[in-house]
Amino acid sequence: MHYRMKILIMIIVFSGLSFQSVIAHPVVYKGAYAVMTYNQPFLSDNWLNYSFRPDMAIVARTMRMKLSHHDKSLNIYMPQFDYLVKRWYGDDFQANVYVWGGFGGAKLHRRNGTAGLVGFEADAESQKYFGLVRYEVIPNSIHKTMHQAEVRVGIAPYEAEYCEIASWFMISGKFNPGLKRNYSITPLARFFYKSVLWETGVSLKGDWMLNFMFHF
Amino acid sequence: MKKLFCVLLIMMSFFTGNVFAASKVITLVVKGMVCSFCAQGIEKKFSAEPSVESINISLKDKKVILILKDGKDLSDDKIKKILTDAGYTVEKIVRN
Repeated sequence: MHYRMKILIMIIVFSGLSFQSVIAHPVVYKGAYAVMTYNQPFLSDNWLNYSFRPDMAIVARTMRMKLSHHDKSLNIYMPQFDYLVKRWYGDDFQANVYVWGGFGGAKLHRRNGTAGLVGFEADAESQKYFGLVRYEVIPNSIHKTMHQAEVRVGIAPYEAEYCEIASWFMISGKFNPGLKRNYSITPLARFFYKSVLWETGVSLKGDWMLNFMFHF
Repeated sequence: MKKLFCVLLIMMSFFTGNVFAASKVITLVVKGMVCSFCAQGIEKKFSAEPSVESINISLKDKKVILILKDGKDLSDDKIKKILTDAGYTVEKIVRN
C-alpha cells in the first residue's frame, strides 16, 4: 500500500474524532440516484441523494433520534447539499473530503421548529484498508444542538475484483451526546456487489446496526 | 480461368472487408479505482454510449477495456469526459 495512504489512515484513526457513518459516498457520480439508510435502535438516518455533478449532490434527508432524557424522538427533515471538496487518486488508493449543509424542519412530540445541519467527512481506502472520519452538528429551535461524530476503520479479508462480492470487517466508534446511547463501539461487516451495499453489526453494548445503500 | 479469378477476387474482398470492420479495443488506465461499488459509474456511463459494445473493468490491473461496435469510434476527449462524470480521471488511453 502506498505510504501516503498509510499515513492518511493513521491520521484518520488517531484524530480523536468519533463519528457514526453508514454513508459510503455523499456524492456518487453524475446523474446517479442513491438511497442510503442507517439504522440503530436509537437512530435512524435516511438519505435520498441525486448527484447532478461529479462533485455535487442534493439530498432529501430525514433523521429520527431517541433522546437520552426524553421519551419521544427528535425528528429532523431537510433538503441538503453535498459537495466533494477534494479527491485524491493514487495508484492503489483513493481519498476524499466532503462537506454538506442543509436547513429544514424539526419535530419533537407536538412541538415543531426549524433545524440546520453542517457536516464533513474524510475517507481513504485501498482495496484492503479503509478509514473514515465524520462529524455533524445539528442546531435546532426546539431542543439543544445535536452533535454526531464517528471514526471507522476497516480491513478486507480478500481483495475483490470488480464483479465479485466485496467483504469488509470494520469497527465503528461513535459519539452522540444527547441520544439514548451517547457513545458506542460497533464491530460490523460490510458487503457490496455491483450497486448494492449493506452492513450489519452489533455494538459492544448489544445495539444492532443495519445499513443499506444502493445507487442507480 | 477468368471465372475462377473473379470468384477468388470476390472472396478476397469479403475477407479484407471483415478485417477492416473488426471491433476497436480501447484500454484505459484509471487511477484510484479501488472499490467496485464506487466504480459502477464507469460501467454505467460507458454502457450508455452508442459506440460501446462491451466493457471490462479490472480493479487489480486498474484498467477499463472498451470494445467498440464495428465501424465506431470514441474520441479521447469523450472518454475523458465520461470518466470525469463517473468521478475518475484517465491516466493513459491505449488504442489497439
